[in-house]
Amino acid sequence: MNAPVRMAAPPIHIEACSKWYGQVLGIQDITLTVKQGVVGLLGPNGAGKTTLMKLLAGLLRPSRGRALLFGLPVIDDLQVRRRLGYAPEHEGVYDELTAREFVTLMAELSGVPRARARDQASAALVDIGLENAIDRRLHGFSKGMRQRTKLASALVHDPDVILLDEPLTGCDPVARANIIARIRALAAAGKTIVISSHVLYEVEALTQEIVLVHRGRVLAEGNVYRIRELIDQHPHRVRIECDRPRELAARVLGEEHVVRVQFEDGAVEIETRSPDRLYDAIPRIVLDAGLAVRSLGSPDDNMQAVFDYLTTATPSKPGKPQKGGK
Amino acid sequence: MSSERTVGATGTIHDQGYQRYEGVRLPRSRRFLVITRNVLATAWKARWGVKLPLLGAVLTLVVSAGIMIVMGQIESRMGGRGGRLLRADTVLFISYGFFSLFGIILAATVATAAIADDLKSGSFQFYFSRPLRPDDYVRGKLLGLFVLIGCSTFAGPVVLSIIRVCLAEDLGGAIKLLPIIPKAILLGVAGTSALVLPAIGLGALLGKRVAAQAAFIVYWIVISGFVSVVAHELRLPLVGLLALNSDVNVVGGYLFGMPSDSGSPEPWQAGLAIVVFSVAGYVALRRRIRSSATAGLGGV
Repeated sequence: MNAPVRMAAPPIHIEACSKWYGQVLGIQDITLTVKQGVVGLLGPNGAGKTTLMKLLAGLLRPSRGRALLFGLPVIDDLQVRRRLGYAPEHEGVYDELTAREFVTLMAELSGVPRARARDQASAALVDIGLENAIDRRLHGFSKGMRQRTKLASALVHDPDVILLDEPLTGCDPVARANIIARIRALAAAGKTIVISSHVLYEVEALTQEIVLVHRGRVLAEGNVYRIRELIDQHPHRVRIECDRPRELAARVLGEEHVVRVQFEDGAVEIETRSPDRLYDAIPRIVLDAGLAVRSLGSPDDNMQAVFDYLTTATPSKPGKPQKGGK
Repeated sequence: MSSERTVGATGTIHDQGYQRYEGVRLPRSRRFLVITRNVLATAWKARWGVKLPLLGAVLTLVVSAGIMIVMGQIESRMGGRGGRLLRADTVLFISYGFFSLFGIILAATVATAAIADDLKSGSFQFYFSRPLRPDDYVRGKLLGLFVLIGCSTFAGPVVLSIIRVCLAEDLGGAIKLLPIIPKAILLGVAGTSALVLPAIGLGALLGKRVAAQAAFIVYWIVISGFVSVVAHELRLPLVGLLALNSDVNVVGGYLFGMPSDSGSPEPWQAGLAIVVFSVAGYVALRRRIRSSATAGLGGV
């Protein structure tokens, strides 16, 4: 029997959730709904990411509010946990067991019958690229191999919601690429995946949808580029490499939205309050002046910039997060 | 103020052949057996502290059975004169001392670490993010440890008692000897409980394997011995109740008709002490697991 399916209920819904550890605040008054696809849970260390993950995994009871999976409270409803796969940040694996034995154990705990669990464990491990180490003891595994074993244990019972806490930590580039490809495939197959990380480029490789947590609150959520556009107190930077950067700068400074220019070696970095108008102006200026442009790009157009802006600036209204629409 | 937010890709979901598993699932009521199997599997793979005592228990069984057979032949030649039953029971009772010793090693190696290691490594996150209740976990761990340690402290005396019955010269003799089987079972249950529950409770309380192992060994070897001597020398049987090994001995001696020491507590008192220690261990275990299951323990 499967858990009762509430089709209308979103895979993840957090309702006014707060968690305190004694006097220490874990998260504060977070309300969030996550739909199908990959969502990056971002934030510096200690921001409250793991607390949020554990609330969603049913490992923490909220001090206030509710964490729901498919409309059911995950802390109290065991049935709905069958639809959940969680790969924690910490180790917690049994070194004495082989990878296959460990993942089989996890499959059985999720209700997969013993006769089938072993096959599913093998398939999950092969899927994640551990086919050559499937019967090796975990004791001899590298950090990256352990990460992949944990990932396999989170996927082995075919869950609908997958929570991955820092899943790429310690992985070599090949393993990283393998895991990223696997996560993308899962998302394409209709799963809801929440990935917690403080390494932004990892998340950027997977999704543009983010929830940015800082000091226990949601600072921003939605599409990362939309969020960037909403940060109007920070001018957008555009970097242009060309043969005559000073001439380009002189012409650009005539635009009223340009607030600053800065020269680098063979390049000029322009700060503007209206990126769209600047991008319209640049081709015209380049053609008029006959400049030879080698490259054009924005150092702000990535998660790191968004992350830095939101976490280093003092939020003027912490209760009103930036919201990036789609 | 909280605000409603929705994130997540809402684009096209590509069908890649994903199909939900719709087959039979392991009933939740039997999920504790998965934990039990894991206890046995990890114990067997992990430590010589498990294999050697189990080998010792098997050797004790073989030697004791051999002595029983030899004694039976001697008694048979003597024409059945003089306390045959008493001597056979004596072998069983004495052998229990060895079974108990191997049980102590097993408990110190595995039972004290059963919860402490999971607490330290963060395994709870794997367990309790799945459809598993804390009580299932407790049941699974306990059953695994009872089976493992019971291989020495329960199976040893019970198998010997069965061998003893089988060695009877005729059916009447066998029927007469039958009561030693339930006696051995009782002794096995008491002895196994006295090892498993306090040991696992200690591990749950202290949360660190080495500390729990040290405390357990110090208790069984130093404190118990000291308490037994003090109780015996000062004729204070109630003080002797604090020594679990002596409590088990008193119960065993009573069951197998061994003469009791004047400084020993009454058998019912010793039995009650075993129950109290066991319940205390169980309560410590259960409280720790129930609180830790939703405390978000993530390793240290």
